[in-house]
Amino acid sequence: MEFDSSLLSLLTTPTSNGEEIFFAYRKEVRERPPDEITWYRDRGDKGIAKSLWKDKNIKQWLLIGNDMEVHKIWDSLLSTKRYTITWDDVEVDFSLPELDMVPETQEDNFRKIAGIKVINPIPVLYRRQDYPAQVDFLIDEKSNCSFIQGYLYHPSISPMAPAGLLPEDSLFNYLKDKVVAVYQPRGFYYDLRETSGSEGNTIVEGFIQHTKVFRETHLVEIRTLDGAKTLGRSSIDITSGKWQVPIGPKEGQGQFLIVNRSDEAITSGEKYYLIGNINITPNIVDTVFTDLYGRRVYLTGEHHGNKYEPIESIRWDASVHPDSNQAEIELSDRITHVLLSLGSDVVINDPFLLGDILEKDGQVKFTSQSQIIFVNALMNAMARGIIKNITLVGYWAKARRFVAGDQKIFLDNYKMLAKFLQSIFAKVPKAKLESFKLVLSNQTFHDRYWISGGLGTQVCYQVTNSTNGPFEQNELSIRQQNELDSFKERTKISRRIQEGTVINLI
Amino acid sequence: MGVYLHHVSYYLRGAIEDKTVDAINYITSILSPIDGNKYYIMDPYLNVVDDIQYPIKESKVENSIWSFLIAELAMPDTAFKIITREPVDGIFEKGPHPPYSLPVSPLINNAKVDVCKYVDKKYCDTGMHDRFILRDGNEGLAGVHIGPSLADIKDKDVSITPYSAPTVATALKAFSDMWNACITNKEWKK
Repeated sequence: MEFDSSLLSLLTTPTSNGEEIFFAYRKEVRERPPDEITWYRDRGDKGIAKSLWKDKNIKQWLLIGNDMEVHKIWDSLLSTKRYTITWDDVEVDFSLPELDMVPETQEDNFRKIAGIKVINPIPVLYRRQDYPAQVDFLIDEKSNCSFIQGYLYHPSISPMAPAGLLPEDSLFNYLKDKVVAVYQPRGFYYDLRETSGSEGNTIVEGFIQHTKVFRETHLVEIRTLDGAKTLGRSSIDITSGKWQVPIGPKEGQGQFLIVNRSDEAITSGEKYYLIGNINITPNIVDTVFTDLYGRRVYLTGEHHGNKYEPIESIRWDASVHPDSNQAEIELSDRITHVLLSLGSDVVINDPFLLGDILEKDGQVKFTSQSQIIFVNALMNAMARGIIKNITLVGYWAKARRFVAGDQKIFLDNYKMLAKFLQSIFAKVPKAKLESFKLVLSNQTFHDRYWISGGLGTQVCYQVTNSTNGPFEQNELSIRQQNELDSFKERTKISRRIQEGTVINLI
Repeated sequence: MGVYLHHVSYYLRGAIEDKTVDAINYITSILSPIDGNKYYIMDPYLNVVDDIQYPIKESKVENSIWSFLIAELAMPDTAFKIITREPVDGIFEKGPHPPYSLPVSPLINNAKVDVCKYVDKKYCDTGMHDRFILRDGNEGLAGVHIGPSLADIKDKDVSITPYSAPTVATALKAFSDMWNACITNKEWKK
């Protein structure tokens, strides 16, 4: 029985002449092929494609056929950059831009044994010369690709079919690299490991996921990494797919080969490298912080003690997100990352501070959605147990323009916010703040900078909007400053802190 | 009345940028920015492209005293009219005729900033020399005279003198005449 089907998935956006393909994926699968090329219902059949994202006009077309026929379509598409299909009175023209095949890199070759076909061939990639402008919202936003791939759920976006067709994050990574056509040749899943045998020797054992016929007709052979010496052979269990090869001393690396029983020919094989000394520490969860969007952070989890590297820049644009809720989540996560990269001492230098905060029935009442997003981001950062000291530097004469009460009420409400933050993490000593200060500068300033106040990391970010503004203004840009600018700004901010009025909020 | 900012005293104190902040603090104390104010700025040496447009575009408002000052004055519904002698060709999406609008930015509260370029000796045989900022709004008229230009404040002495109410009215009339002439004559280009 032959199992030589190929799937071809086309992601398109409409043009005046038909459909422009922004991502084509051909995958050889282990399935019995239909008699002729078959378009899936509602994914191309009769010219009706699946609309994945209505607002952005993204459609998926999907067909299955035997390897040779799909190969012909693929070849024709790549060589002529066009493909036309007709159903009765419906005709659809697909087009592709000019593409170059991406050469195999050395890194891709580390598994390859000279002269032997690899078990899981690396995909063949085709790259366009410029970014597909019509889907810039996919290149800008990883989550949008995950919604389309189906690894994340969004109510307004339908996932591609079949589920799991593309590996997680791969669509984003391909598009970001201008790769718009990918051919994934057939392989099969296998795994292997080294264990200690009862006689003190080492056993290489593993599993092959393949057909019964394949298991019957093939053997596994293990060789040394250079291929000079055969360490052993094993048949494959027809029912379970398992095999075992005793090899003597521990090797940790070698060649894994598939041998045809009838003619002893090696049909495929790869080099393998085993990673030793993996320690697994149990993670005991005793407290969970759930953020505004329902995401859970384990407060005694693996985040504690992690270092977050400074980032070059972050740009957030509300218009590229599918909806306002997703835009909020993305904005919050970006701010969290920036705050974490500042290390233990975070200094927020913003003439308007965090904006006005009100009190209602003894509780903190926020005055803007941006403020809520910022505080959510701050709580997410605090939950990681890295931030110890927060200093807000502002200028009262400017801040008061947007404050309902007088300075005493303003400061009292900020103290209430500080208590609120402390109370959330009251049971988690690692996440508690050691200090939370507000400094009123005695000189005016305008620009916003977030800096690391500690002695270790010297990071300085320039921020375009006040913390209570980006969501309402639909954009935010955060850029790390170069060494000279960073030094200048840090000097200025230090002076503001030294000469200003310091208020301890906790 | 007014302030005289001695360069040497800031130089010796070691914080030159304090002079910028002091100048801005004084000017804003006279012009008291509130919502809806209109500001009229005349300065032959004010380069709106380098000193206002780019610092705002690059989100480094404090890098230039002019962008810093505009940001301090810009409240909701604020508008600025600027007459300068400096080139205006670098304005993004510059319109075909004056006044030319600078890009709107949330960093200056989305204030409208319109610019006219004055060409000396073309209008009433007078040269443009004075530098002033006038305010008209719900709190009435106010204004300051600046001598010399704020453009390179970091390297020189600067005096800032508040105008009396009748002087502001006179200056505003002169500004309006010159503004209208700039628009009517379209930069005096043939």
